[in-house]
Amino acid sequence: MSPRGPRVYSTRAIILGQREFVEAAKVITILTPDVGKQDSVAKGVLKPKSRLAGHLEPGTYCDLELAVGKNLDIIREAQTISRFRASQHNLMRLTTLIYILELVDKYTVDGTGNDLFQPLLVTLERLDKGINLSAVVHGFELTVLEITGFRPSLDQCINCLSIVDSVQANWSQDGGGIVCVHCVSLVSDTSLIEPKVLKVLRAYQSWPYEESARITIDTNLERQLSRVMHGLMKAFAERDIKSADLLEEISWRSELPDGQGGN
Amino acid sequence: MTFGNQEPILGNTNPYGGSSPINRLVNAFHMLPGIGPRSAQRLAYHVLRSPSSEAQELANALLDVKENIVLCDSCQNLAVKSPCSLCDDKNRLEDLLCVVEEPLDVVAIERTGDFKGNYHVLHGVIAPRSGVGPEDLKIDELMKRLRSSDNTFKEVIIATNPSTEGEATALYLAQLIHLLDLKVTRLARGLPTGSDVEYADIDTLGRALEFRHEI
Repeated sequence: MSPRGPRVYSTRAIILGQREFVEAAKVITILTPDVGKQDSVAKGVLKPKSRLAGHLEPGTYCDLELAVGKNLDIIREAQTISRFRASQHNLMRLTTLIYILELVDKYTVDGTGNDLFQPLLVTLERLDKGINLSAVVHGFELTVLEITGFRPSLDQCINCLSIVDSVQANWSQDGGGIVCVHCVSLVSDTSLIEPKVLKVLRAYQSWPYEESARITIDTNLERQLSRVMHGLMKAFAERDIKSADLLEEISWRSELPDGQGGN
Repeated sequence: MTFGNQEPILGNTNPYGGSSPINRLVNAFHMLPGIGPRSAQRLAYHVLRSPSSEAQELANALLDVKENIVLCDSCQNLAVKSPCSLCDDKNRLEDLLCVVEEPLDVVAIERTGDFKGNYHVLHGVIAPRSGVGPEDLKIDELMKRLRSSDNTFKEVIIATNPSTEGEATALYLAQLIHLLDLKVTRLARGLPTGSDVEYADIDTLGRALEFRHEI
């Protein structure tokens, strides 16, 4: 905020995360439609009678009133608009929600990411409805990459820019796209990508959600989609995305026959 | 502020730096969770003004806790010996296990006097944003305990915090424990005593309505 601006302001926000701060305060990381990602302080939230605490849990969409602080702005009031409650009762959806929030956190720095606000909100609403999680998650991953300038090349070879047929494509995680058969020797660390996987990713990248959500995805295909997309998200973020591993572990365990899924 | 010819303490340029004993003490207090710079300063000055015997007692207590406290092999709680006094207590219910995040949660639940079962301390929750995954918690130990041949537990109460991460941990544990055919329950959620319905968040209020009881 500009020092000459108002001392108190209101904004809609999605809570990305929180960490403990001094005394009973926490630093709350929020994403707003105007500023993007910013850290702010919520005082007294560790106290049981805090009026703020319940409104500032990660994944909450809320109205905030903040006071401009010397270093960090201070949250004075908070009112939940939606907590996406259906996602809170299901392990897969809740872990997906945590993963989505971690993606936004890892792909933005303070004061950026305001253009991710609307896609994130829409994704949280879709996740809450729970229809075709694959299209919701991978569609959002591709949107994050697009907005942050890392749009993967799924139609053209990353080396020679020729249009590549899905049957003959190779995949370069670090290059962020497909490689044609002629360039495969020129690009390091390529691997074959299943034509089906590439076709679905192309659909997620270019079709509207309503259409891509109609694609039927079986367990095996989803596992491959997740592996490709998680690898890509980690490669471009240049750091580990811990919730991606957790997501893979949970989906792997839910596929096991009863009695074999323990640690 | 100076003490005689010593270097300035808590000067403007490096408020908590420097190597003077008082700065070291302020820094040490500031490292503790929930202690801000002002509180750290107050505590340090309190120690400075206290008799030497009190400071000695504080120092001894700090060293003692680091040298003599161990993790109980069974419940993973902090204890002076393993198994701890709670696990050793034959009067506690053998079919009830309460899983908590931190050792302090055991203290809080014991204070109610309403729980007579056993405990298991996870030492955290699954928090990917902070780099904490299931492998960093005492989940393997919990599952080994539940799978062991002398296990008598019939019900596992998951008492992680009602936060997003606490909820994710609870659901994760429930998925694992259900495979062992044990009953898994979660602490009820509702309005804290003395709070205002007006200021309650919709999730808490929604759950309070959902789990209302007849009076």
